[in-house]
Amino acid sequence: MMRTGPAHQLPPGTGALGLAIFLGSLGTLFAGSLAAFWVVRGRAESWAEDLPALPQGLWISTAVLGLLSWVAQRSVNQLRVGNRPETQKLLLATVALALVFVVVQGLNWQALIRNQLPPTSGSLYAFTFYLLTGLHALHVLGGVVYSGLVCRRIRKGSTPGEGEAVANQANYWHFLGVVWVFLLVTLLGAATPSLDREGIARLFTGLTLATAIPNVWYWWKTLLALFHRGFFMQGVAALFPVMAYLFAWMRAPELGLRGVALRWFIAFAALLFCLSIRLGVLGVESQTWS
Amino acid sequence: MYDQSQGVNYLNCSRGFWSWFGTLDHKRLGLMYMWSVMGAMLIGGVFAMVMRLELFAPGQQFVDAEAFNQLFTLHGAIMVFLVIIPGVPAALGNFALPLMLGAKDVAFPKLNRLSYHLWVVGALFFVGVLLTTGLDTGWTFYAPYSTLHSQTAVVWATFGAFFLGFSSIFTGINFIATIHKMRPPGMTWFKLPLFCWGLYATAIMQILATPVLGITLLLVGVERMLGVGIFNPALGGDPVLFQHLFWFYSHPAVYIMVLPPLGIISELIATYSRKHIFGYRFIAMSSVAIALVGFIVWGHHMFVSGQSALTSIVFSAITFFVAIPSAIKVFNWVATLYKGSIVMKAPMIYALSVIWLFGIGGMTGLWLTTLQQDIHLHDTYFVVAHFHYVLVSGAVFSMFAAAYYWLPKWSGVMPNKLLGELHFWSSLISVNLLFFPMHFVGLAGMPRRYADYALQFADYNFWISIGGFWFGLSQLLFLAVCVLCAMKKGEKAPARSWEGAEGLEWEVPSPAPFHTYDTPPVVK
Repeated sequence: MMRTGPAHQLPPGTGALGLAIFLGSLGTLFAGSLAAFWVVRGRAESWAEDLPALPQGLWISTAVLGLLSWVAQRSVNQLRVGNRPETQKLLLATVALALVFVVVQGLNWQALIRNQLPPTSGSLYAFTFYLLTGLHALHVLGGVVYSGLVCRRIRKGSTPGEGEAVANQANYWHFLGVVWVFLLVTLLGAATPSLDREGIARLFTGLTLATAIPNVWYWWKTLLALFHRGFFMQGVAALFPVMAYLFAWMRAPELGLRGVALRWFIAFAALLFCLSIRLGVLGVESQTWS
Repeated sequence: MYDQSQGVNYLNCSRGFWSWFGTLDHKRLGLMYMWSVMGAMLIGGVFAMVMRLELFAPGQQFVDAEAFNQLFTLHGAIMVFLVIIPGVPAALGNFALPLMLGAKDVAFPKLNRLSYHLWVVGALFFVGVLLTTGLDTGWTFYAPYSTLHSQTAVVWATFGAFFLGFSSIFTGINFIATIHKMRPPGMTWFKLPLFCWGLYATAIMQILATPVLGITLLLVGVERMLGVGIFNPALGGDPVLFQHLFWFYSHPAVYIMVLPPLGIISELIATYSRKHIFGYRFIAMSSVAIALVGFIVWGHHMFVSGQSALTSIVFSAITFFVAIPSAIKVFNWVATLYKGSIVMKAPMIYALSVIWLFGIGGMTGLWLTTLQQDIHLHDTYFVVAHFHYVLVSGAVFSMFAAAYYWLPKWSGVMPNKLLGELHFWSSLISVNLLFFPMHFVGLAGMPRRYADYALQFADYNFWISIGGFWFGLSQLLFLAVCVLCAMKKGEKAPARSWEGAEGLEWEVPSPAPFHTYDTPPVVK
């Protein structure tokens, strides 16, 4: 097999950037799935009424995932102080904990199956549970391979950029941990029997308005910065929010808005997420805005 | 700088199947993508021509209605997923991007190779579809037809598209990281070639939209296999949800298909006008603006799908905004041409025709986003005409332009001038004969996706079919140009193959050496 010559030395931070982009991509996967979940939940005639509750084992898997994140972060710190054997051990523990997590999730699935709710039972309450937890567990298994590869690299000896590699795999686990919190809140929240269609619509109306606040704030900051620095015409153009966003991005150093473009992007994604669910659950004219 | 005495370049530095299929070299991967995409294009094109054969005259001629459903489905699915989406970013981008940045390779070569291999896996799934029961859902896989009723290989096709999605995401990750981290010293963001800006904006959409398609298609597959009802109203699901999720990807996907081609046109117009591009920052930012706005217009595919009127009005209004950055590009191209010293080489005549033809596709887009108008035009041939003007005479013509432009760098041989110009004129006339009358039959109410039509449309369809066959056969000329270059028949190309071409890719010999830019060049 042909190689492209000497292993090319990547500029520092390339791996971290690649991972960040990848996590952005995974983020839309989970956000899209959760939005679809809420729309289905909101439009369903009945959800978890008269059905068995979600397994209590979910709290165990949550604890395992929390521990996992902590161990992964410790491996970064241990490598930073030069303790290679300890780093290796911690990486192995990361892999082991991830496998434990998957096993616990398997037991949770089994508990629900024993309660007469297999994936094919026709209940969307059960199916979406399997789907969301399964999707998450697949990414945990991906992380097992990832941390395993990083562990092998550390064992083989010191290489340039290894600190970054260990930090990247820890960040991957933190990301999956955060996603899990969102999933858990969603799954348990959606199983609340008192939550009806109007209730969900009200909830996401509130969240839409809440996420609108940072968006308006960043828009205001950009407008202010543009006028303040004398970019008058661009300030007028920035009355269109899309233009304001582009200026925040391309003139970040001049306007002193470093980082605003990225934070604004996330705030806007959150707004789009909540608004889509709100509109999906309840068509606009079927009800007045509550 | 480069030792060419041995005549060693990326094409002949090593031999054998694995030296190509297992390579990490972006140039070889780009070239393999190119041939693979052309192969897929041939298959998709044949399906289109059989369709035109059936529509040559009213009544049933060669295929029945069910076979016709399969033909337009496979034509659409292959052309979208296997040809146009990977065609420009993966095929042309892979070859050109690192050279244009003066980088040795993309940031993650192994990921790059993986993304080609995933393309092959996805293509194999589509071959599986062709060999089994075919596919008749339309390329859009609309539920509940795809989940409940279709008797064809929907699961194969959705898994195929799933793998192609991964391929697309990995390419996107690679390109963003490459553009961020591997620009040479001195190449600031606003010295980046405009094609790279196009690729960058595209990559943003690839990574943020494609996962949603992935989970949606997975759900279609699971729903078919396990009989659950996310999209089935009888089981408590919602079929319109499918359309929301699908178009959340597939509308940005339209810009994945057109932004890099428009970047190519920006390169070519400047090169062959022998001027600096007019309004560089505006063109660069217009790509990013299209990418951002592209995320919030998906509802315009669903004006008649039962979404609320207010939602439709909002989506319609936002969609008009896409016209602004698109027009910014066109005006800046025309301003670049003004008082330029224009050279009419094959790439340039294609670029000029794209300005005109993409303009037609863009204008009809404004018709369609007008809510009231769309309710009349929805699902007619007007829509077919619109997106073929954008995708064929916009994106595919840009790919031809780019191919003529960079063929010397790929092969070391100048493309045959006569064949190139013949290919251009033949394609230009036939593509208009093929798609322009579709506007009229569409306005008169001829629905798309039918195997037959009312008698008053017969004359138009006769000429449309003539245009179709003519256009299809014209592409053999392009194949001939490529084969001649691959066989090294023709004038030997110098490093800077075109007068006025200024990018870093023209600093290296033609064909490109195996190792380019071991040390990054300094851009002033």
